[in-house]
Amino acid sequence: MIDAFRELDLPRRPGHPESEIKTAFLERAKTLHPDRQTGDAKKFESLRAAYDLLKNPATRLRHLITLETGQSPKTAPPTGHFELFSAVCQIVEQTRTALPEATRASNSLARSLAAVQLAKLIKAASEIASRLDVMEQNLSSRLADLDASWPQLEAAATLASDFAFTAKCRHQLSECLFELNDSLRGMRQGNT
Amino acid sequence: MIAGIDLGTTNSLIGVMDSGFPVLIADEHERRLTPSAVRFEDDGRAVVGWEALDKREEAILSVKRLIGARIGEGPEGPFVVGRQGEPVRLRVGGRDRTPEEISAEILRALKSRAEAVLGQPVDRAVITVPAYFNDAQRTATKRAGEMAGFTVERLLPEPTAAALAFGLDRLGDQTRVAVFDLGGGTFDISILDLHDGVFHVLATHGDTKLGGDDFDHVIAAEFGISPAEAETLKKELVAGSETEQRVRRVCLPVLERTRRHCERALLDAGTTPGELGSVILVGGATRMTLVREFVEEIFQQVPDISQHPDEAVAMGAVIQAGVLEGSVQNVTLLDVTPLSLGIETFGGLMNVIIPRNSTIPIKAGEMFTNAVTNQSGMRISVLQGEREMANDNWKLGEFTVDFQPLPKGQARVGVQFEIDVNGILHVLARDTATGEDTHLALTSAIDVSDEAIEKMLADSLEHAFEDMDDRQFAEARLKAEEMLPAIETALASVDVEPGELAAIREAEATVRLALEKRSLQKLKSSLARLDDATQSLAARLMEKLMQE
Repeated sequence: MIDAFRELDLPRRPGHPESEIKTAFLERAKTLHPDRQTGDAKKFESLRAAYDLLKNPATRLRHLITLETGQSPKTAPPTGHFELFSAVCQIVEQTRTALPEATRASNSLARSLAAVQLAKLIKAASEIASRLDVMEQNLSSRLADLDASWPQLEAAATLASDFAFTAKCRHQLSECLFELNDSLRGMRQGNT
Repeated sequence: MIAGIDLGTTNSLIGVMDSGFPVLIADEHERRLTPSAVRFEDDGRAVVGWEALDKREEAILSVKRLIGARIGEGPEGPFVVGRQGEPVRLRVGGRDRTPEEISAEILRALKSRAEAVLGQPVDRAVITVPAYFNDAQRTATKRAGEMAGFTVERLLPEPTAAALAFGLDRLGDQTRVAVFDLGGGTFDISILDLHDGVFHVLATHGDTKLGGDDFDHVIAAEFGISPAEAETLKKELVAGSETEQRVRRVCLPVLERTRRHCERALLDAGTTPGELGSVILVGGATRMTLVREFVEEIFQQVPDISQHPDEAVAMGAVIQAGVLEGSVQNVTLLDVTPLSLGIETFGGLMNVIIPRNSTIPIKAGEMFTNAVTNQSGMRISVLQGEREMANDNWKLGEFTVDFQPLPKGQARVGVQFEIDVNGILHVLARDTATGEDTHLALTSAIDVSDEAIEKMLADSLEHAFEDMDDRQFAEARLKAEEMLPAIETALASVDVEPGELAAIREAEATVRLALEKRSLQKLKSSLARLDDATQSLAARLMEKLMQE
């Protein structure tokens, strides 16, 4: 197994700022990319894989635990915030029904109603998105705390799960908002 | 010496590095652009460029739109022959040719021009491709280069090339840029970080069948003129004139199709317009004021027009050629694969193995296990695209993994998927016992037997004429069922005058009656009437929504 921290020449810690990890990757890519005279395809592949592991807090924490304990941590459910996660699931479900309905709407009345429905969903999704913002800020400060009191493997495992779940929620919510906005914009243009 | 080539839909260019600077090579009339037009004389001789346009009706134009394509994927245009699902071929000069053969003629013409000017053989090249080209389109372009006598050192995405041209005199900068590339036939949007000479592509999106040609077509239709005349009209537009207004009106819906791709690229790159230092415009179609205004609206900033719309991509190709031959130092390009790569799994779903926007070159492994005892092998379909269902994606081809005769679950073969620096896929099978890799050939999905194609055609025809009336009635009924409850919801949220309400109710009653009588004609006409009666209601609902 690779040691992603060694590949990027970074100390084994959880709290590296993402810009620092990225700079480490880009600086090494300058010499290792196969296009360069000093390039090496094998070493570049390890570097790329290492950056993939470290750029997100969730995979970075999991990788760190694996390196420290010799085995990968179990995936645990997130601590608390179930209400927020289920709200995201609801939005995803409602978007899944609302989008095809909007596309199918074959007359202007149905289109207008579908547009109203999309606008409502966008509003609801945006509210959840701002709650996710708060959660992500909270996670960042927990990560900073963890970094200050490193090593704390159990806390790291919990935090890794929380990061992973939040990231998944963020991804799904962003996808919903993207499709909803795109669809609503299309309907408005169609009606004007 | 490595040449840099922009093989464009409308025009092509070639250049080389000359004492540390990228230089484009002009023809004997001082023209750097060569029209991507090819025609064949009676003796089979190919005529390329300006000379081919002398007999425009005989010339093959925009062949790039056909490269790597199969019949039935989109509008094909003149000369195209072949049956549904087959690779596109063109019937010209009495014989069939592939699009890559035509592209090779263009490349050959560029090659001999460069050789004549430089006085030495030019047999290595960097060729640009639209960033959103799939594996088949890239492979076909590479083959075209080889047919023309080049060793193709790199296929370089066009927006990345433009970013290289933009960034060459800013190598110390750290900034994030977007490249909006609207060429003659393709559209790409890429977002990159420029970091001390590293060009790091974060995300790319696009449409390989959208470009300036499409503007010409809608303008031609609007004014009843030919696409060539439309091109001239577009260039001579007077701001504020009535003609300009009409051109804007018909072009805007085409341009709107780029918006989703831009928003998608921003989302995938995890960035916002506010974080972009520059939005670089390239491609001939970005000369239009309408396009510039549109880009400004999407990215909330005045776009950067410092790059030559027709030449920046070729300049970038030359710079990358310089990187590969070692004459350009301090430039490193980290590009991405534009489309997710995956395999078909049970239930017809696509299982993503390499997600889109992964930095290339990249390798990813997948382990396959026998599902039953003594299973001899397994057919695997390889897909490219973003859709959940396997069938909705582009099928690259199939390969077979061979199993040792072992009990269920014990025969295992590791397969490695590798996307190279050109964005082209290689599949390797690793024998876990010996550690030896074998290159697996993908059998193309288009190698379908004639009988299979005949059957597919027959099947689709059969279904097409099946119970036409029944289907139409079912469709109309669905529409009615959608509309009737919609009226109640709408009436509850917007005020209506008694007269309007009466008209709606009356139309509604005729729809219900037609449904009862199962009369297709009556249902159609009463639905149209109901549609009319609710027009104003719908408009007011939309208005209310806009105000919220």
